[in-house]
This record gives sequence, C-alpha cells and structure tokens, in this order.
Amino acid sequence: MSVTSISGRARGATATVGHLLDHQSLIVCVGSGGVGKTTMAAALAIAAARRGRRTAVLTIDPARRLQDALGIEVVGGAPHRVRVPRRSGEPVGRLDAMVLDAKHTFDTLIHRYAPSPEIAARVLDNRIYQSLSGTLAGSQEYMAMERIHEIVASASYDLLIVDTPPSQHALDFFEAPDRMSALLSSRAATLLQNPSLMLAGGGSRFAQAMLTTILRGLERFTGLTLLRDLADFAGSLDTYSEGFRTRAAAVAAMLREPATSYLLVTTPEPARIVETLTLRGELARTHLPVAGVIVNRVLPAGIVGSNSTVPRAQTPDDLAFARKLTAVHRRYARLAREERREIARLARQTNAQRTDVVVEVPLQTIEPTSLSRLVALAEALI
Amino acid sequence: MIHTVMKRRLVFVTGKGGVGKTATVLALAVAAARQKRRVLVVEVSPFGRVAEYLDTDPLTPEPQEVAPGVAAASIDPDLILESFLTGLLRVRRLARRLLESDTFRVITTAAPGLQDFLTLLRIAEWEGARTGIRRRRFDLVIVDAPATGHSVPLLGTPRSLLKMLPVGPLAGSARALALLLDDPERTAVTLVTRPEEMAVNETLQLATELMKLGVTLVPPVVNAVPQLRFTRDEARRLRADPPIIPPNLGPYVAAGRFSLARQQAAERQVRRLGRALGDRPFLLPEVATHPFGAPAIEQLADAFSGSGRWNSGRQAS
Repeated sequence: MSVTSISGRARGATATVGHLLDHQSLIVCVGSGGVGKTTMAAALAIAAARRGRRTAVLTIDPARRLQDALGIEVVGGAPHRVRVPRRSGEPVGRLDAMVLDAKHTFDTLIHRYAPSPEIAARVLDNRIYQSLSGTLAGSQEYMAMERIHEIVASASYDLLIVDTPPSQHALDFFEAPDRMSALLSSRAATLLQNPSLMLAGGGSRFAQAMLTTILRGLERFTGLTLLRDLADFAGSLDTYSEGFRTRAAAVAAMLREPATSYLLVTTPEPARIVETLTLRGELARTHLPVAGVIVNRVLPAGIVGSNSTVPRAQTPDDLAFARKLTAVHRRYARLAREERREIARLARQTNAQRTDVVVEVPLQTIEPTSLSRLVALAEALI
Repeated sequence: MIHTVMKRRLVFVTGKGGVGKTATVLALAVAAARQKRRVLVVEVSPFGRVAEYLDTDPLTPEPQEVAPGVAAASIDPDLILESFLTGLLRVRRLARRLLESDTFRVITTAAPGLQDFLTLLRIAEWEGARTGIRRRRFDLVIVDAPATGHSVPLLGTPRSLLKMLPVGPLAGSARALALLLDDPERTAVTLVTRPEEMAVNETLQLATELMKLGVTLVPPVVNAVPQLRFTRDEARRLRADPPIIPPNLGPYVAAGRFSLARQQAAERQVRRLGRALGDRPFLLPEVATHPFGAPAIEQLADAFSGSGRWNSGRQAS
C-alpha cells in the first residue's frame, strides 16, 4: 500500500496528517456522499490512538456504517472501547467509538437545563417535543453539535474525530446552532403561545377562525392535541431559551477554534473534485479552517506498466486473453492519467492558500470492513 | 428486468447515497420510453440530479418533457403544503400567510409524516392522471426516492396514518394510497446498490425493512459492475507465479491482476445479494461517469432493454 503526500509544503514540513492528529483536539471530516468519510474518520481515529492520544470518533451518519467498519455495535450513543492493536514500543492511546443518538442527546439537554425535574418531565412527555426532537429539520445536526461540545467539554479525550452527513447538508450542519437558537428564540415561543399571531398582523376574527380550523385539521391528521401541546411546549421552552442560546454560541465558537481542523474527503473523479473545491470555498468563507484533503480510492501506483507492448498471441484463446489484458491496461492507464490531472488540479487550487495537506489513499480491492484493514488504512494515512 | 418494471405503473427506486439511483431511474425511464411508454420521472429530493444529468433546466413541479417520451417533475414541499392548506381553508391568501410563518413551519415539520403523505398524494395523482376520457397521461411513474434512511418512513406513511386516524376524509386518501402502494400489480420498489460489501449490507437491511411494509420488491439493480471479465482459465493463468500469459504482455500483468481482484470481489457481492434476496440481481455495467450525461444514460438503458448479453449470468470465477 503506498500513499503519496504530494503536498506537505504549507506550514513548513509540519502540515501532515500526523501533525494534525498529534496537535488538534477536534477534526471534522467533510465530503460528498459515498466517498468514504466514515471509513476515513475511523482510520484517522485509529491512527491517533496508536500515536498515543486519547481519541474518540463520533459518527452522525444515520446508516451507521462506522459500526460495520469498526465491527462493533454501538447502542444509544454511549462510548464503545475499540481494541486497537498496538505494536510494542507504540505509546498507549485509546479509542472510543460513538454513534450520534439525536433523540437521546436532546433529552439529556432538556434534563440539564430544566429549572426543575417537573418541567423536564413535562417537556419530555409533550408530544410536540417528542415529534420535534426526532424530525425537525436541523435537529439532528444541532444535536450532533451538542454532542461534540459535550465530548470535548468532558475532557476525557485529547482528540475527537467527527464524521458528518453528506456535503449537500454539510453547511446546514455548521449553521445548525444558529438556526436552532433562532427558532427557539422567545419570539417563536410567544407566537406559539398565541397561535393567531402566526397570521401577520394578528388577522381578523375570520382569519383566526380559519386558523383554528386548520390547526384542528392538522390535529385530526396527526392525532396530536396541537394547540394545547404547543402552548404547553412553548411555555416550558421559555425557561430554556437562555440556556440554548448560550450553548449555541459556545458551539459556534468551538467550531472555529485553532485546535479545530476540517479535513475534506473526496475521490478522484472530476465531479467529486469539483464538489470538493466548492465545499472548500464555502467552509473557508464561513471561517471554518480547512486543513487538507484526503483523496480516497486513487488507482494504486504500479499497476500501469510503463511501455505499451504488442502482444504476440499464438492461439485464439491467447488472443482473447491478450485483448482483455490490453483493454484492462489501456483503461487503467487512461484512468490513472485522468486521476493525476484531477489531483494536480485539486492540489494547485488548494495550495493557492498554502495551507492544505493532500493525502492519497489507494483504491483497495477488498473493502476496509474489518479492524485489521482499518489499521492498515490508518498506517497508509500517516 | 425492464419487463418486471414495465408491468407496473409506479416504481420507487431507492438505495444508499451515491450508488447511482438517479442514473438508474433515468436509464429505466429511457428504456421504457423506447418501448413507447409515456414515462414520468419524479424527483423527491430537493438536491436531485436529474436536470444536471440530462443537461436541462431545473425540474418544475409540473411535468415537463426532458427526453423523448420522458417527462420529469420535482416535488416542491411548499407547493404541496399550500395546495393541501388551500383545500382545507378554501382561501389561498390565508394559506399563503400561514406558510410565511416560521412557527407554522415548525408545526408542519413536527407533524409526523405530513410532508411524506403529501408527497405520496402528489405522486398518486400523477399515477392516476388522465388526458381525455380513457387515455392515461403517463403509463409509468418512476420515483427517484430518498436514500436509505428516509425511504422506509416515506413508504410507510399511509399505514402509520391509518393507525392514528382510521376515519375521516384524510383516512380515505390514506387508504387509497395504501392500496396503491401494496398492489403488486401496480407498484414495485427497486433497490439500487454497488457490488461492494458495505453497500450490499445496507441494501439487505433496507430490503428487510421494506418487506415488513408489504411493498413488492423487484430484483435489485447492481450498478457499476466491472465490464471486463476474465474467464476462470484466464484468472488461473493470471494468478500463477510466474503468470502464464501471451508473450510480451508482462507489463500488463499488474493491471490484469488488479482488475481480476475487483471483478472477483464484485462477483462475490452480487452472489451474496442474490442469495440473500432469492432473486438474481440485474447488473449495470461500469460506464464512463464524466461527464455523466445522455450517452452514459443511453448505455445503461441498453443494458436494461438490451439483448441480455450483459445479464446472461456469465460468471468468470
């Protein structure tokens, strides 16, 4: 397995994945769907643990692929100790893996900020809350942020590595704290207490009657007693809003700390490279510090022969075989050229900022679904 | 494959993110259109790629022709909610005002399954749409359904709604939807995956959940299967040390062995998927994906409608 670091120049020779793993306290993996973010997060975490750091890896991916990759079952979001094989002489680090349980995190939050256990119980029993905490757009992202904050603040780990939802939502992800606190602001709560305010300008009696009708319609639809539950929920939330706001600000600050780095994960296909460069720009504009790019599934060096040759086949079988070999070789040679071009483009553009690490991970013929394969991948990343 | 799909009137295509759902949807649509079916492609996700792949204007909530015989439309959550509200309120202006309220948005987002229910209603409307008295507007509606995580709740909406609300006008719509989704003659679900272990794992998990819902699964589609296959004998010769290959081909051995390893890994996963689902998967060849556009879609459509050479079940090793 070979890995080429084609750009380690920025920040002197120190800008390597190893350097990030040794010095950062939060690393966030970002990228399009299906590029191997989850696997890379797991491999990075294994590498960090083997470098002696107390490491945690958190996956937000609802499909829970990290469980497959690490060969573990993670239930309810609790840390699960991964037995990372250690060579003699290696420092003693450790690795805990966790899967985000958004509902559980939200419930924990409600308990923590409740002025009294009774209020907490009332919110947790509220059906609006129950449905909101699971389904509200952005609540999962927001809870991920909460969980990240909780893990970092617990001081149980030197380094937390996080895997994020696919890039279409990546920015949603980072903006979630702001949106959530806006939503839970006292204005929203006031509206909830007096639903007729939803109609701009208060609305006529007719409009209010209509609103009541529509809410009844929704009640019939959902089986919830919406109005009562809403008023109740809003009333309880009022006592929470201050806590939520402070917390959201703390999370937003944590995402931009110098000890936080973002690693983009991509594959060398042109379309993915374009997406990666766009994403990189968006992160930079939002002042989220991108440390580098991991290019996953690059055709391994050495499978493309240097000379094209003319086959001398004797039998028809040989001829068919020779044709296949030639076709395979031609295809890989073309693919390798295309990949080199794309990676060079990526390196050129990211290097304009002179800050990025670019690491290539070769395409495997066997997927890294076992711990030992993840360890091999971890070695390749350093 | 194309026949099992074309027997139906409504086909949901789903699978893990990044496996090629949209490419499969479009290839199926083109293959069906070649057989003179009027096809509608419905894009459920706001981040859909149908327009990008076909190099057309962004999809609209009203079906527009995007390729010969193929129309496409997107689901606009605001629009379906508005028409639902207008139906309830009978005053469009009020519906609009409500929609502008953030708080109202919280309620509709929180109302479990409302969006999904409205999406399905819209799809069912297209499925039953007619032009003139007898003539159907579309023969086949293909839905580019959400990825793994969300497709089960989507397809399960009518049932969960009926449980909560067994009577009333909405229950009527829910019952009609459930009948449509459960009808093996009319509706089917196709799972798309890649010949990779993790992708297959997720597909099997999804298949189990969908079967619990009672929807009909047609054979899964395995996308991006390596096209070139070495025979068993060629595989043996490549693996031998030293390799037994035609003269002068030494420099190609590494590429050959790599390709063989990928081919065999892919075949293992295809077999595993087929065994677990008791159905032989339909294979789509690995095609040039950049730029992914009409030629690639035509190539995949060939595989769906073609002579079956690609899917003759020829397994090398």
